[in-house]
Amino acid sequence: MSRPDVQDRVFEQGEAERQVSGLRAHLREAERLRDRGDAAGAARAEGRAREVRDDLVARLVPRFRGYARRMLPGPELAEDAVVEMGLELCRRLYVTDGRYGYFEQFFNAALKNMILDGIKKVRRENGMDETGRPATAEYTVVSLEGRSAGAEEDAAPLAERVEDPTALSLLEERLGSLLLQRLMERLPSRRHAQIVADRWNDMDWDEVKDRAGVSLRTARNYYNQAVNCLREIARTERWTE
Amino acid sequence: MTDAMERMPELEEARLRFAQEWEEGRRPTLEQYLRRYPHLGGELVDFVAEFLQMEAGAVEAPAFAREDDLALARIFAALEPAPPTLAQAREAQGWTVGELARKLNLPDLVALRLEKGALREWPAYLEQKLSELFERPLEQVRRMLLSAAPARSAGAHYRAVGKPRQAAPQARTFREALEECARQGKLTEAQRREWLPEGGPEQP
Repeated sequence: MSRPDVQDRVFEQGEAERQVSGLRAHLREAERLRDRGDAAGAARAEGRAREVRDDLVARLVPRFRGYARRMLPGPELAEDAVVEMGLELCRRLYVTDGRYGYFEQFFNAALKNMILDGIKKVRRENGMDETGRPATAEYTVVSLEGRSAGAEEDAAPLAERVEDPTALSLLEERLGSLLLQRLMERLPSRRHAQIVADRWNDMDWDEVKDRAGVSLRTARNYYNQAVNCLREIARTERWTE
Repeated sequence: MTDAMERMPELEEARLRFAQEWEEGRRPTLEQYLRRYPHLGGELVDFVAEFLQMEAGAVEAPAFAREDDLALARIFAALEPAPPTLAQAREAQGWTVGELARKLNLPDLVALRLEKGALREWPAYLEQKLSELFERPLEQVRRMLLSAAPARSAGAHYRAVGKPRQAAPQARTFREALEECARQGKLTEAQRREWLPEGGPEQP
């Protein structure tokens, strides 16, 4: 149950798109007035654009914070990311030449991509690679715990060894059946499949590690190995429509 | 999907399509996207992995940031342009110094001195009038005036040897400048009533 002052969706369908269109209309009006020599009128139009911008930012900052805390280690980094996202949003909103016209059509989708860009930027600036792992100049970090846990797996086909069929079918929903099959052929253990499935199905890291019976570090390592496997498959398999 | 998307780099387009399908409640698979954009394989995997991690569970957040939210304050501070000088603000409006003086109901000379930072101790009423005239917050108007104002009230000159010698006062108070104009017959009755009434300038 959600508290009255707390909500999952920031904007009703189409509301944000209308706000962005309005903001850009004010900016274009300001430009037109300035070209006609009406500096005072231009300043008023810019003021109206600023009001819309400030309202959008004030509504989105708590949302940015929610995503940043989910994706970044530590509240300070998350706050830096919130500022980065707020500034980048304003920059994109103020571009009126059509480059970011899609914010007027698909605001939430555009916003989520922008959030991911902001998170990547903060990671890069803080000694991580874009996916959030420590930047190790291409040297691989090996988990000793992960190795011993993986050694317990037997040699039966992996898909037959997944204990939780729900997790497997949820993973298939995210990947597609052929991609899932290819992944299963390559993953070194059942835990890898379990962890990637749980993680991609709205489970937080604490639950993921508990279900897999490994430490958080190992769970993250397994997850990263699974994503590496997917990358490899995506690059090497012939994918055509 | 749209003209806007067709003009985007392909990876951006793929990311936006995926996110939009997700928003619409269709559940796109990574495999569908690999088939549609086979040459973007590794990038798509990274994007979908990050996207799903971001979407893991609803983010419940207050509808608005609190007024004392520090990140919000940092954003607004970074967006706030440095206030222009009074002369820049006037030029942006396309006014001459004389026009600014008339809008403020001040003698030309006082407006000119104000712009050049040759006045001090101006009344709060002047800040308020400028704030309305330029449609800027009072705080910004104050910074505009202060940035032009002299750091010392009357320009004391210092020499390497000997005691500081007081120079002739260069920065008058706002009131002194008006009184000087009055002595020279350059202050109208309306200006005097507004700016030099008994007990200070008229308040709106």
